[in-house]
Amino acid sequence: MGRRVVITGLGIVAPSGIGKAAFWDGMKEGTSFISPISKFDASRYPSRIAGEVRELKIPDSFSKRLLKKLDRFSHLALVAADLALKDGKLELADENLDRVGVFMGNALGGWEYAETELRDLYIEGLDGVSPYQATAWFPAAPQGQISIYYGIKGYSKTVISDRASSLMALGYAARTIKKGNADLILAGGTEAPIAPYALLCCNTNGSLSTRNEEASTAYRPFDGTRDGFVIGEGAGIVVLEEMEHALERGAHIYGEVVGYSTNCDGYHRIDFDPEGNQLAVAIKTALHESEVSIGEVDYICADGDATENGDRSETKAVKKVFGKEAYKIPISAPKSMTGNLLGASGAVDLITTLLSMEHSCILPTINGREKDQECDLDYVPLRSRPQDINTALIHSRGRGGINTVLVVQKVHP
Amino acid sequence: MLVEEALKEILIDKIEIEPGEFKPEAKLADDFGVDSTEMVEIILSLEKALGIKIPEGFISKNFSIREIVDTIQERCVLA
Repeated sequence: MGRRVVITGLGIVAPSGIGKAAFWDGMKEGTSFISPISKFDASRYPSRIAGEVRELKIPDSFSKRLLKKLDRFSHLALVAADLALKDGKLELADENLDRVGVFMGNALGGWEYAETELRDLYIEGLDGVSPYQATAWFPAAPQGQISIYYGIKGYSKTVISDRASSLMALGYAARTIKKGNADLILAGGTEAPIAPYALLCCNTNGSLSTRNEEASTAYRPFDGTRDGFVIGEGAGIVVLEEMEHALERGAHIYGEVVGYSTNCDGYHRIDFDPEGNQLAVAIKTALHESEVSIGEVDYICADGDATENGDRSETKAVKKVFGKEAYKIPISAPKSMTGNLLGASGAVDLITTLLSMEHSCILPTINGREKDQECDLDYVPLRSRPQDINTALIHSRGRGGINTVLVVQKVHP
Repeated sequence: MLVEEALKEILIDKIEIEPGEFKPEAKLADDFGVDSTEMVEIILSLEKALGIKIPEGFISKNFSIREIVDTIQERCVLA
């Protein structure tokens, strides 16, 4: 067996909590963290609810001089990276930084900063625009800032693939370690979509719930009364590490990345292939790479689009791969509690899944009301369920028909 | 406002230097780590505070505080 890749540190900044303990405590009860947007007057937007990170405390180690040059999506990423390293008890100063990388996923870029500067451009002219605009807004900024702050010098990338961005970043990061091109990678994603222009773009996509008066129950994946997903902000970053490296330093191992696959529907700019054919192919390919049999999968962390097309095609894909076994596998969308963190969603789902493995508890899909006859699998409705998880799949999909699947497994000592 | 006073306020506010570090011989890049984008911010802030226009290339991050103050006093005019 070649090089193996394990996860040894979790860094999470989410509407349900900052840091893994607060995050888990917030999620295990199956409560919603979605509410009317408070950051600005969003009253004219069709969808004006979201999962907000209300109290982002940034460690003093990040100076004001640095933070003022960065958009919120980089702030979120820096805090998540700091948490991941602390959780992993990893001192980067002791590592060969040429063998350490950063892989980040992001969908939108830093629009809170950018739109303020665009407004200044039109009102004040050229001199009104911050000199930091150029380096604050672009989607690779968080990757760059993390690498600069920690002096990381190894193989690194930013992946932009809509909502599949961070799961794709994690998949490619794992492959990079597997191939021997790095020993340690901070990998995940970040998103700060709750700004006027970014929120408008999310709205024009047409997939957001408009149940504004029922914010906490608006996001209803796989339910017959669904009307779209709800956005959220935050970041999820994990420490990916070559297994021998992790064992040598006595790191806690949350799980192993054993398989990854991605492909495209080649179908439509917004909608998924209604048959879920390519998602099924991605699941099969990831399982094949993992050398995991169908009977071994005991949990699926779903994409949970909460659109008719998204939910039904995801359900069909699972049935195509697992056949009758599909009815025995719990498949849930915990993001129904936090909102969909877009380019950070896959990384948050990975952290959710690893914590579910740690606690032997599957987080639910909340807000179910009426059954959709075509979505008839076990979506773990409403409440958490105690259950051991050894092998889990994570699905993440993006506009334009991007399918990404990651397989993680418990590592038995 | 005097050029020196304005520059001191800007460096304390934007670059987070300590008041005691504001010495005539201190160089912006070498002593305070000022980079090119921070220099743009400093120039724009000086223009706003003093009501002047500082033409491109007149001052740089490699200047000392004394050189910046002298250059502005000698060469820059009201906007």
